[in-house]
Amino acid sequence: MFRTDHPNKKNKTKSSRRLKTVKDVPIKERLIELEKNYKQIVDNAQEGIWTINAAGITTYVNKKMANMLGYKSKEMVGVSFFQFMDERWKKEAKKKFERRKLGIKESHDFEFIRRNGKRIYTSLATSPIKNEKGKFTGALALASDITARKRAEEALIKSHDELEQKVRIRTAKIRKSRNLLEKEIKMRIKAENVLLEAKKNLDTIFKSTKEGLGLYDREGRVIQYNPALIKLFGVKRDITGVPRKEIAQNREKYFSYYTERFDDSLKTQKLVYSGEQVSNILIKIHANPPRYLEATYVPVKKATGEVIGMLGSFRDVTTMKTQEVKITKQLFEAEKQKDRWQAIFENVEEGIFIIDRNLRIVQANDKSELMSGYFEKEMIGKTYYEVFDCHDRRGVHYPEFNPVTKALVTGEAIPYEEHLHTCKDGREVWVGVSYTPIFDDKGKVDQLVGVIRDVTAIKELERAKSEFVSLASHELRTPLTVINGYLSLLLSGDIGKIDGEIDNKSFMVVTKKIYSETNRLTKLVEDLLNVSRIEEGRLKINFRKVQFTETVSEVINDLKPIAEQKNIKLMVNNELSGRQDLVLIDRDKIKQVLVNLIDNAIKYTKDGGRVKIEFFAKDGEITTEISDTGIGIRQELLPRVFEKFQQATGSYLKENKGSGLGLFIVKSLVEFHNGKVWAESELKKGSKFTFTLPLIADK
Amino acid sequence: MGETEEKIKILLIEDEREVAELYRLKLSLDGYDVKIAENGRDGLDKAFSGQPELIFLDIKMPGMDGFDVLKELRASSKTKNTPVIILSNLDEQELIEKGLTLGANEYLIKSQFTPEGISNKIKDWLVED
Repeated sequence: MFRTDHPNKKNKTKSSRRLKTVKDVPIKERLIELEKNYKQIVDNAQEGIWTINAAGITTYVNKKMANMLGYKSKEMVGVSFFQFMDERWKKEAKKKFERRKLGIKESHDFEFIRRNGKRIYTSLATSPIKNEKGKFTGALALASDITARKRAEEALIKSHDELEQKVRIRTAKIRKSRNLLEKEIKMRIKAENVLLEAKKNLDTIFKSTKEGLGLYDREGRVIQYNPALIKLFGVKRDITGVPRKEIAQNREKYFSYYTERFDDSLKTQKLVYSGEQVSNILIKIHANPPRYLEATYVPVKKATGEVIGMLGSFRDVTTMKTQEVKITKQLFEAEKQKDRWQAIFENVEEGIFIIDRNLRIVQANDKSELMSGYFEKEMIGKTYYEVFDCHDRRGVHYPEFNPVTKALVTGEAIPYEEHLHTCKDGREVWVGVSYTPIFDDKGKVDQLVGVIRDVTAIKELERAKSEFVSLASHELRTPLTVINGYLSLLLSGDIGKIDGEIDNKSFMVVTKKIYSETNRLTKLVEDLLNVSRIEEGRLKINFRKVQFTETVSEVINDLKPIAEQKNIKLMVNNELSGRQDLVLIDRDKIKQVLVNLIDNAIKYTKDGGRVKIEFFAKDGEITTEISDTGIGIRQELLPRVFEKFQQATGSYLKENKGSGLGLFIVKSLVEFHNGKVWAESELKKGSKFTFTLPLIADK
Repeated sequence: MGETEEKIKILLIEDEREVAELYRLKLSLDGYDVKIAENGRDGLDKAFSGQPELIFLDIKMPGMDGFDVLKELRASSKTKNTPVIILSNLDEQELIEKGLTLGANEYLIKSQFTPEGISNKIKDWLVED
């Protein structure tokens, strides 16, 4: 079905040029650029950033996030989000994940298990990720470490409990024995020292954390607050001992900035004192520039569950807020770009596949499936050579024939190569393949993108072209051989010897032969030029109003001598009346059609035969029939008689001589005149060629 | 080769009448007994019956091409050792290789040779007893 022969270099470059323009789509670059931007933002973020897909699998974590959990980013990617928490939090996370699916975004505290088994307390701002169509594709979480706040809470509870415990014991002892009073006093002092110590520890944490912390007593009075809180709210006077309610009602008195809360502050307080934790309260501080705080209020409880106070923590989420918007936008864009890329990937005319360093296919598009006969699923993991069983034009198979490794080693793209592929079903396909390497961050080739195109049709065209050239030169050489041959015989004096000796060959006979072969050559060159003009659309037709009968008569007069030579009767049957024979034609071109058809009829009819030319008007057309009593045409060849050199046979060596360009030109010329041409024939009885030309409407 | 000697028999398998006539003229003048076959089938018949000493064979012929003829010539005990010179105006390397592989002694391009040049080739392949 394909010819591996006749490597025609000229044609090869031509086709490769054509291929390049189609395949060079800069999707990859655009995607890479976009990813770069995206990466830069998230990699440098202060918060931990974590994205998961719809199945909860980690698709991305930035360095900060990975650090928090004690991993490296790449260790986490591909791992389920749920692997980084204990069973209790897993339940919680699942519930939250369902809420993401419903499109809800929220902030909440969350506890992860670090690699070393220790817990890490974080505050998460989570939002769903949707694609262009609004379909849920995963979730994004921005995380900050709030271990400091948690420790503060714990420390407070612990110290409070410790104190009460000791007081209880001591009091009991006092009751038991007054003697122990002194000792008791000492013990009390000691216990108070413990409390002081605990408070001191607490102070350190209080003072060093960036999180604003405020501790309130049972009545909601401020017991303690840290420098971070002063800075965040712009506290301008000491608020120790001031009830929260008082602050809420007179914020401008205590704070430098106007503070806007998005909750009912006192309601929140009530809720916390009833034992609930309240998170995600957004507070806007109207500083310049404004900043956002996220508040969490936690009840401070004794072991008995009794609420003895409240801890408020305030986190600056300004950067997070803006980044969240940015990232969501970027992710959305990336998703959109991905969709576009996917659409292109699946719809391009070329097969596109991606192979890894081990030559294994990691992705392949629909067209690759069509070309190889394999489904993508079957292709993935197989080497390129297993799937395509490719070999070069000499039939050399892998690994001797191995164009891919070169690209992997040198990092250079392989612009265009032609391979012969054997598909799954054994079908052989000529393909043009090019490879472009994709590099990793270290500049090493990570993958190769292969673009593959079926060039069978191009190959077929090349073959037909090369066959045409081969046949055309053969046809040109034949009369040249005869002309040259006789001229050389004349020059060498061989012709002189003939005279009177052998046959009746004379100088005149030889000259006539040379003359006739020269005519044959001229006609052939003329035909070749016509074919080239027709095929390139350069043929000019000069339409004139012409009387058809006259045109036919001229042609018949020209051809009569040839017919007479073969003793062939040339019969004309004109059924046109005077007014019916006006046609709009290029006279010379239609004469060429008539000459070709009548000349053929004479050529293929034996001496003494008959050639009949009939023409009549019907349905606004002039129909011309040229029939002969010649050798006829085999039925299977009839459909192809109008093809040049009947090239479609694939066995051009066995064609009849003279079956060349004439009928191809006839058909083209008739069709240029909006006419039709066809052939009928019966072997050994004769052929009939018919063509039609539109008549000029009778006015 | 004198007039008294029996003439050397040459078979020319060639469908182009004018080309065949040209070569016959020259070869006859040079003292060879030239037979013409206008197609492959005719060529094989004449080769087997006439026992020519050398065969000129055209490639592009209707029905049975020169390669088909060559295969049969080489398969027959009568002609397997007869020198066969392919005489064609097709000059594709692939065809030349094919002709030589199938057992042609030489592959000549007609347009590159004068009739005299063709005639001289005969001497190269005929062994004088």
